[in-house]
Amino acid sequence: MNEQTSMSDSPIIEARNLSVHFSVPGKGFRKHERQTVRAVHDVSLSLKPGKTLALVGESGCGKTTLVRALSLLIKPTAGEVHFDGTDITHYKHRQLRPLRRQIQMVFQDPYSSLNPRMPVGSLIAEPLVIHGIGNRNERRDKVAELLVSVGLNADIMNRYPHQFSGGQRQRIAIARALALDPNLIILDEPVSALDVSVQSQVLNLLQDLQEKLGLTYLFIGHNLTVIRYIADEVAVMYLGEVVEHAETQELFSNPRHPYTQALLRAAPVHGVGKRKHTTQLKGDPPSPLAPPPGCSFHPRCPAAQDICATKEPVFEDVPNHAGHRAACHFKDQVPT
Amino acid sequence: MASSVASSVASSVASSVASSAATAEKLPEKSALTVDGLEVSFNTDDGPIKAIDQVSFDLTPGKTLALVGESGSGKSITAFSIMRLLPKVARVTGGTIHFDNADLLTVPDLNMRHYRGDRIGMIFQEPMTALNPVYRVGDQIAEVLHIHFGTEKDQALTKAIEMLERVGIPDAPARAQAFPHQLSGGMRQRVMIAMALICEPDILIADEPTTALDVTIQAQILDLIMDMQAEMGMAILFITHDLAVVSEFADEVMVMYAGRIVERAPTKDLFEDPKHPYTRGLIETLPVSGKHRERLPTIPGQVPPLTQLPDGCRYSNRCPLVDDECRRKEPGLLDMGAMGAMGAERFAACWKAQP
Repeated sequence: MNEQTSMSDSPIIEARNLSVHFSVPGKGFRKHERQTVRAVHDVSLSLKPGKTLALVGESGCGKTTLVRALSLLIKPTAGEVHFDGTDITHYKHRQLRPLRRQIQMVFQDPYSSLNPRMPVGSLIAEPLVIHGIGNRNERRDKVAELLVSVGLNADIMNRYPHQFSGGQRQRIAIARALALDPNLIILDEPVSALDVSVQSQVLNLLQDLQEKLGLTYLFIGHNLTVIRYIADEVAVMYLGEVVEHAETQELFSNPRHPYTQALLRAAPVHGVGKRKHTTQLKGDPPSPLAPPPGCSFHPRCPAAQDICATKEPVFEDVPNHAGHRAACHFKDQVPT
Repeated sequence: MASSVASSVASSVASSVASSAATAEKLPEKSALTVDGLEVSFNTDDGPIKAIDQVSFDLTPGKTLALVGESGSGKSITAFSIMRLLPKVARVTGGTIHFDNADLLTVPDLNMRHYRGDRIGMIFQEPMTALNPVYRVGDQIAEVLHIHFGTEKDQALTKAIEMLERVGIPDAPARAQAFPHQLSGGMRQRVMIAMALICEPDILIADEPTTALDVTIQAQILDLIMDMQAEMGMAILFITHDLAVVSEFADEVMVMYAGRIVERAPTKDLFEDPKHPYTRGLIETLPVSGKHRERLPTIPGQVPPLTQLPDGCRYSNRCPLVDDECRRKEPGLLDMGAMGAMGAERFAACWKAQP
């Protein structure tokens, strides 16, 4: 543990009972009967400074919406977002602007997140220009410094994104995210689109930067080996809700929610021999337009009982495991 | 229930196969496919470049061979060569692909249709772009039977629905009426698999079939492909960049680097004792459980563009074991002898590899 991480344990950003519901038109002739999509429902999360929280879940489970609500790019329907201890849920656009500098993003696909018509130098300097920081020469120096810090040569400033490989582009995207000296970086599947041999290079870089700059990461991903490797804590989402949250080692060694257990079983692991029939989960996640009653996971759950179809489980501590929370009626039962 | 449906489809398809192609008397006997010395060149502004060089392998009925490599290593080009679906700028400049006493590279285009889709099926990575968005999925599957066996439309649709049931689509008669955009990613991939397998092909080429899917759905699809293989006995060429999937799924693995196969071995042996430094590098760079936040080993540099391959061994500019010999002369696939549990032979294209 280094100095930055032990500075303070009060969360840098916190969601309290956060919900985001979208109203969408109905289908066909019923398009005037609006329906509600429960994209994020009653989520409470906090990010500790200098740490990495991973958010895992299948596509459409609300990861991206949660992240957008956390950074107040969309207004939550209910609940609060706290930044450095202040409630910023109802901040106006102008009040949010200085805060936005603190939160930056790196996206999955470095081929589409970088404007192909801008040279690398301008791409990285753009956040500085938008926030009116420095003059031309100062910005140029800053860009050079950023490029070096992500392991690239400072003299590539005049080249264009297409002249770089996927790994190099992701480094450029990371340099741009660092331009405003943020506290929190949201990493949306930052290595999924990269080739295996460069994935490890980027993961090493992200760790170096976190140690050097005391960054907090919110890491969105679905590759459980990568998450187990890089995250301090993991939150598992299903159909808009966080169904389990624990420290990484605890979650992987002692998963209590059947969905987490299924995810862990489904993930291929190299070097264990030919796959056995591991499919426990039948079917697809249900539509967030019509979440099932009771526990939203019960239609796919291999261990579902009668109570699961009627009563929604509370997201609370697993008995005798402080800091490990799960939303399951049977979370106190050790999995077999 | 499922098995009775399966056998009825099998027998009816078998009779139509016998009448049209007059090759296989009994369905379970599948043919093997042998690729020998395949070379494919691309015409570019800077002259022809070799995208695939001296690629040889064979596909055995009932077995799964995985082809692993980074993007641009030539995995998909290898698959498209077998299907004869190469882009116009690509040209096969050498080698043979033997299948059923024919060389697939020389059969006329018209005859190729008897193989493609009928004897050799293919599943693509992104089912949304591989399916036709304006036709109902049931009709798209039925069309395969109609084209290859001249099956009547409504009869073909009935068979298509049976096939959808076999690949685990609930409420298949209703789903057959759906358009691709109305299905989830996993469902679409099941439709693709149904389409690729409805003719009970000898060979199934799966080009990154689960890359676009979530883990739980990926597990479903992998299990499904394995079940179908056990049922139909076809050979599978499984193309992927995901080593973890390979280790659970394949019988044998080929590793491709910059257009060449650099190592081939039974799966277990490859992971336990990789012979080529590139394979070793790939396996070592994977994050492993239990090594929380320890620095990951990396492979320095990146795959060179095919126009700028180094002299001698194409991995020499990234290899930790490189010496003068490697920079002078490119190694072919060297026999590493039969070893390991399965006793299958293994090969590595490296001067430094020890049997």
